[in-house]
Amino acid sequence: MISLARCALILTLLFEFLNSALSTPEYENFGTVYHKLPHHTEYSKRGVVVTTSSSARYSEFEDVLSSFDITKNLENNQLYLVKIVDNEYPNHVTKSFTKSCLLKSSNFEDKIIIHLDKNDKMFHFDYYTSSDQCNKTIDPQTGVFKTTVQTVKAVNGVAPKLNKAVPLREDGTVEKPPEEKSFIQKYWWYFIPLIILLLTGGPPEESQQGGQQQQQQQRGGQAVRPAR
Amino acid sequence: MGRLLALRVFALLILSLVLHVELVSSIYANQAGVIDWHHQYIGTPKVSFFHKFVSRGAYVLVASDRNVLASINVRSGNIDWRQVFDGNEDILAFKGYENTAISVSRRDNDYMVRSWESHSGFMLWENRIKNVGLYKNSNPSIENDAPKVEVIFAANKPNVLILLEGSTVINLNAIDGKQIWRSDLAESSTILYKLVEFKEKVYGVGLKKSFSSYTIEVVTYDISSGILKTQLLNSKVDNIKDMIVLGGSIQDGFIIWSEGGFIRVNRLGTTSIEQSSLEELYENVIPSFVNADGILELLDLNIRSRTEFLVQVPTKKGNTAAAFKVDHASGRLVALYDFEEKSENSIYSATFDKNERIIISRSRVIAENATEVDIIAPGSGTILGNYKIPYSFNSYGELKKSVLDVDSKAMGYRMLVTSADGSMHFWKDHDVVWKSEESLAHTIEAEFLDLPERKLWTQESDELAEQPEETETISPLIRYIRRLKTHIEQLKDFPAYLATYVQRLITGDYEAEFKLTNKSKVSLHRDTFGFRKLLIFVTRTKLVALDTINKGQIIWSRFFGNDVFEFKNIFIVRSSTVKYPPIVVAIGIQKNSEGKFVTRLFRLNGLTGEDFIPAENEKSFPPELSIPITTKRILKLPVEEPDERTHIIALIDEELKFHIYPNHENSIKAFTQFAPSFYFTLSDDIGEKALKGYKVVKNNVQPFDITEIWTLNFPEGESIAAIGRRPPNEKVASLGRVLGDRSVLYKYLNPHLVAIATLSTSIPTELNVYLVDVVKGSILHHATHENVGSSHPVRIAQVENSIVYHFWSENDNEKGYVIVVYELYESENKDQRFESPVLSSFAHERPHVIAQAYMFPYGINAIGVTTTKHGIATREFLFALDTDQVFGVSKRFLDPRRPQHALTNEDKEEMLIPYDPAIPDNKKWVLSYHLSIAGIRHIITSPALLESTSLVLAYGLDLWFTREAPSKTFDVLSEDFSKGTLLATILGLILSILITKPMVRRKKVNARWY
Repeated sequence: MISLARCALILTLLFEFLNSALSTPEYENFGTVYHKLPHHTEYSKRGVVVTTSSSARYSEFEDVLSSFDITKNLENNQLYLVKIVDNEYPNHVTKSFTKSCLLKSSNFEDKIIIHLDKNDKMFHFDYYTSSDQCNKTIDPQTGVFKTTVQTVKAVNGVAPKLNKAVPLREDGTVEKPPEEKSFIQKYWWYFIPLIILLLTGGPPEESQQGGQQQQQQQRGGQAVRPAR
Repeated sequence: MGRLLALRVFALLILSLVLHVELVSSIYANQAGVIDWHHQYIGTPKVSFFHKFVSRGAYVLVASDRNVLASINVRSGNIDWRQVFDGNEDILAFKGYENTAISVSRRDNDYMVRSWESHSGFMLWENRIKNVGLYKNSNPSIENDAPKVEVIFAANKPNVLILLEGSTVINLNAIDGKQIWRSDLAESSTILYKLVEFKEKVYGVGLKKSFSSYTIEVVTYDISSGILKTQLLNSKVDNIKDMIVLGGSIQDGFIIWSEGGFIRVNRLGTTSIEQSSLEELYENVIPSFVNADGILELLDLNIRSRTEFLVQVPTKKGNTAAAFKVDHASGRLVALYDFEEKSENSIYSATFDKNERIIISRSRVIAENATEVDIIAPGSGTILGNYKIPYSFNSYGELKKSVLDVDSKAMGYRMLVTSADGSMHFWKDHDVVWKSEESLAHTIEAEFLDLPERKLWTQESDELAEQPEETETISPLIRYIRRLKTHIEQLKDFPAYLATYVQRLITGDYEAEFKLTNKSKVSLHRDTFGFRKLLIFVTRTKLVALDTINKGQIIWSRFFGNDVFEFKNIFIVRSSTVKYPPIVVAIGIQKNSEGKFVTRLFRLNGLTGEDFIPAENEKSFPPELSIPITTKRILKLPVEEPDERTHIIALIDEELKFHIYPNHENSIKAFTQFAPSFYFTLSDDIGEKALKGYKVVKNNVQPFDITEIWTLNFPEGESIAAIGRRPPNEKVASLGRVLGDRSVLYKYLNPHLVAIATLSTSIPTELNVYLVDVVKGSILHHATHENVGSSHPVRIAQVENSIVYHFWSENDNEKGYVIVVYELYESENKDQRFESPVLSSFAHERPHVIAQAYMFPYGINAIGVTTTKHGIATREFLFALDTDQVFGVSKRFLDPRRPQHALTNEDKEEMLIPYDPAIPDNKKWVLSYHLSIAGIRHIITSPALLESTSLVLAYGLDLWFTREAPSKTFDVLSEDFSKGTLLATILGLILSILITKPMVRRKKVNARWY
């Protein structure tokens, strides 16, 4: 029994190992989000953002807006500062901001756009609120952030299209050029009198002349071809 | 007003009659140089000398600090030939030899020795000398000034001897440049400074560090074998300046040095030392040395094998000098001539005439507007000439260097003088033959300055400047009389105006009134089409204003070398208005007495270059100001102070404090109102690895504090290679682009968008292009080009909603220069805009980017874009090619909407050109036709009053100015428009009316009767 259990354990471990070896693990960035409200003097922790090349999630610490009176009117020029510190490289700090009145007029709905470099590492983020105008008449209902996170990667730079332009139709489909016909396909009817002459078995001089004619025509065909 | 109206009516008449406009693409040969002008420069001479060889006459050969070799015609000042070296190849020595000239320059760690045919500038041979100073026992503390390169020529053999890095002597064949021998002083602490050759021996004279000073060491080489021996002289020298070496070639060489209270002389090749007591010199020999007050200085006159030299001594009242000679036979010093004490600084140069007589010139600035030159033959003690030459001290500063020559044909003395601002002057006897404003070869920044209209100081302008109280009290009658007076005043100009009008009508030459027919100064005012502007250049230590017409004639120049160590920026803080002159602020740095840098600001009248002092508030606007800071960034703010209506300038210092200028109360008030909406970036320079955004913190005292609000760290290994900003005050004619089906794509026009290109250090190099909103620090677009050539520069330019960048691609398929163009739209879809009515950096609105890439036929040094008054004319991108030409490519070719399929009817309606992977190398697009405009670093443009035309200036080493009409001159009648026919037709019609009118009347009357 024991040996069976051990065997099963080894098998599962092996399976796990193979599984992890075969599927390349996605690079995961862990960043701590800090923020500084106008009445704060220091940055405080707001949440954690985890990104991979394809996905991003954000989880918020509790009570991040404590002591922030949402009913208070904010001046137009006060700033709400946000920074993300990379957990792996604490020196790597990126900062962004918005006007603090925008937090209220957007009802704490905000968006973090993470820029990833070619190795899927985070190097920058943009911070936006859902509203871009300070509207004093709107009263915020909640004091809780509703945050969405998104990742962006660089697009490939355009390169000159050196291959010959393929003519496209207006709807985008490729317009097929008329197929090139071979020499014989095009000029087969030239051979008909020749063949008739051969079949009817004309005089030997005539057949010689016919042969020359054919040769000349073939040469002519070769000269024409490169021009097409 | 009446004038303008008449013009408009006439223009309307012509336009209604003629709808045919001739289109001209490139210019004809006879149009070259008519509207454009080209100034060739070489930079400030490092080495200059008169070169004569047999029957070819004399010319000046120059090697400059902009690494140019040139031959200058002494009569005209024109450049006969010019060789422009790469920026990183410094010319170290240049010397004439028979019909050639030898140059030595340093490239990377190697020395290039080249021989040039002196009258044509063709290169005869080149020898690259490697591994110089490799084995030298480096002793960096031995001497402050680095050893110079010495070039001498052997007397009886065609050999060139070159001393490099104070240790290596090379003997080359002057005919083909082949090396005969080379000798490196490997394990020695001696540094050689001078090279002399005579009697088949080459002597290298150097200094060897001994206990507390230096000892002279002589290294002797055999000219044919290069075998050397060294010998120490019993001597003590404190400084290299205390020693000179004279003679050589056809006579013996001597070392002269001052030691203790003596001047000592050694004949090279011997150990004997002759000495003269300074005390005796001061008291008996040279009378003017009695007042000596300081250390004497030995001046080498550099006259080939001659042994004459100068001793210069500062005195209590100024300075004096005396000429000496080493007697060849005895080897002793002989006093020749006492120059006497003069209070001004003097510069000396020497030459000899056809009788081998030594002639010395002494030049000094004696007044604000004059210099005095004494020409003396010290041998006989005769004064050959005393000339007063006009010279503007305010424009050129002190005299720095002179080269004298005797014109044997015309029997006169001519001199090439270099002044402190870097310009060259050529004098002959009393006259200035020519001068060349070489300081413009060091232009740091240039700006277009609009000129005021002519009615500057008329009564009409006074009427406009009326105070509000006056407006309320004045009666309509008085106002009417006043207006009438103005019109009568203007009537005075009418005959002259009529004359120019008729002349203009006949010749079609709109610049006629500005052409200098005589030497009288033309008043500075704008012309009809706004082609006339001032170009204000800020060079290292000087401001120069040029006229855009009259071939770029200098209007004013001002030298600041005594106040400013180096200029940094120039800003036009107030443009020309009806009543007030334009104001220019120039900002530079200077070292103060404690050796710290201070920032200095100068406030000048843009039309005259004089200090600008306003009529009121004199104290708030000092013409000169120094602030004890070193600036990190200087910005012109888009806000004006209320008193003088000039733009406020912000200076951010190294400690990140924010200063504003002018800093009086009202200015601070204006700024604090503006500050909440003001965001700026620092560290946005080439080579930086991060970009940071800042904002001024509210506090009402200067200097303001700033706080960092965003940081953009580029991915590891990337640093900024190029930045493209939108031109300030850009006029955009249309908010959208109309497509073939009459729908509109709306342009994304974000004034805070900056395009940044970074290059990575990884291999293969990667080019990343970021479009960053600099208010918010958000990246709006990011594209990566892989496999990019890192040794080629990246250039980027931005205009309206398009961005253009140029780089070298290493990809196999498209290896070569690639140019990419972006266009930014609000939406991918037609007729769709952003939701919010105002474009805000705080809104999450990313532009839709369309891009296309093309192969570009050339490497480029700068990108400029034409600007027109309203931005209606099609843009043209101007490229400064690495072939020293300016190449204009229409926006229609750099258009990412160029279809890659067969043109549809809609495409044709939109006037699109089918995609072609290469930008054609069309010779008609070269705006600079056959001119070679060397060293362009910037292209700037400015609009004219005509919508079709843009003024273009390319500068760097040379200056080139032209007018460019990117969509052809649609608003100007072509030159071959027949005005005569038009006038004849009108006259004919009037005549026929006059003739037929009575006939018709008679007929009508008759009809009534019968």
